[in-house]
Amino acid sequence: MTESSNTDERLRASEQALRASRHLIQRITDAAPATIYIYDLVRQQNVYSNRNIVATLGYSPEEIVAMGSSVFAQLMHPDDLAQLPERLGRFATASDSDILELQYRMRHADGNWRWLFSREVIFARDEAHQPTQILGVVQDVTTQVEALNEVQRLNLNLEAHVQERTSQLEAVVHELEAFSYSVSHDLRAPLRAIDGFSRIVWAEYADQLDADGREYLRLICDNTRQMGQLIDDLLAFSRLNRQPLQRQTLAMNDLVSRALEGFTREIAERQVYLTVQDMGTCQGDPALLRIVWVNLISNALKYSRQRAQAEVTIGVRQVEGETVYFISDNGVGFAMQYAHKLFGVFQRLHRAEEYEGNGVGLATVQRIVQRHGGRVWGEAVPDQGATFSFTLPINL
Amino acid sequence: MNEPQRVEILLVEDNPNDIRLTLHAFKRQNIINQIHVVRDGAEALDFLFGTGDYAGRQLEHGPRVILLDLKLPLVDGLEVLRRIKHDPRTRSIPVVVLTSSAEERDVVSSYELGVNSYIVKPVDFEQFTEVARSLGMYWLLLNYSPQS
Repeated sequence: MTESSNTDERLRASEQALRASRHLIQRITDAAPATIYIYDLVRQQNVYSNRNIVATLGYSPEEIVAMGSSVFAQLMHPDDLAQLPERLGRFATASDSDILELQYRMRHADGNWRWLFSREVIFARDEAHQPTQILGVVQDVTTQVEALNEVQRLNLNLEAHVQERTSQLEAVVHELEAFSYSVSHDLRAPLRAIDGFSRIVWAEYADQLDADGREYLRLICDNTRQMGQLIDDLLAFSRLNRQPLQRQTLAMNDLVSRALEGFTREIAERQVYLTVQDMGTCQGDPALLRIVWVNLISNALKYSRQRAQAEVTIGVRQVEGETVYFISDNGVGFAMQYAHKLFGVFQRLHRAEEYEGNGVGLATVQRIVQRHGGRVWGEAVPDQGATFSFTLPINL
Repeated sequence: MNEPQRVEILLVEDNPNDIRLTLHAFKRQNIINQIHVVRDGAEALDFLFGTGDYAGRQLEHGPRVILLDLKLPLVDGLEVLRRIKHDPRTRSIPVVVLTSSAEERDVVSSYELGVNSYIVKPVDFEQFTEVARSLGMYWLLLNYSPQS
């Protein structure tokens, strides 16, 4: 009596626990923001789904079960249907802890395709341990997938736009370079003639000219030479853009020494205190960087020549983790309000009578440094000196 | 077509200013008689191979050196150079290319067509003398008598 009432007691308790457990599962599946279903691999049909499937596919769980084994044939996108056997086949070798994920399209009762993302696990196995049922949790990811597709489409469009613009710009740049090259090239021919004939007149007919005539002829010769130099510089400048960069590891002091070779006489003849610090190695094109130093040194010497005692310092310093090469002089400097004009082609901050030059040097420097991925700038105090600095990124 | 008996120097040049300047430089040195001028690439080839207007020309009469401009009408200088260097009859004639820039010179040398020397225009006699010396063409220099 006591025993059986104990048994009844336990039975009631476990039934209650079971009901509570079922109730919990029922309420979870009711509230889940996802479709939960059980697919029977043997009968090849859905045997259960929660109410959420109404929102996902527009059919009630009963309607889905009623579709029997044709549920996928009826609702799944043909492209995804083709992959179904392979997808279900994966369960044969899956363990109970595996979660298989898949994304596919199903047609909603309203006729629209919905992107679904499912996570499936093995729900039941037979005596031979073969999976017989799988449980899946499905979310409608149509909005996300379409947004992603849209982003990809826009990216592709953008990429295509950028490519189109880039090639247009490249074509224009190329055209301009070719134009400036051929213009400066063709300008040489008549200039050569002016130069040649005026030299002949100078050499063979000078005695037939009076003093004024000879002076004018000399001016013609001078100007012709200047224009020739200008064309040479322009050609060299346009060449800079067309030469490929030969990047290698270089000892910066070697480059400076070689650049200084062309100024040995000037430095010896004038009072120039030249200091070259130890600058270590850098990454760059040796021929182009030599041009950078030649131009910077030439400027430093040029603009300090009024000084009884010219001082030029070449070196390197670390500024906020960046290696900055510099050359400073105690020359005439320039007003910082014109600093933005320093690096433009043909821009000059001094009068030609005072300091010769055609405004290509610093433009060349800038072009070379930029091609190396670096920056160049100038700082000065009028009548006290100027410092030009540039950076060369190590890794590009 | 006037055909000079012997031609020491063939000048292939279309720019009349450059022709005058070159001839002037040589005239000062009294060697004008030995220079023949052609004005385009096609005429240069006719002259060198005895074809066209120069049919029947005695090829052994020279030239013994060719001064070749690159920008030429009809057949350009590079093509003329290629033909010269690929024909056994002309291959051994020294070719001095007249350039108007260092870049032009680079372009030509990139073709590896066996250019013997380069002269930057305008051709002056000093430069030419240098080239003649470097090419071992003393015989050309023997023909001129420096003015003082």
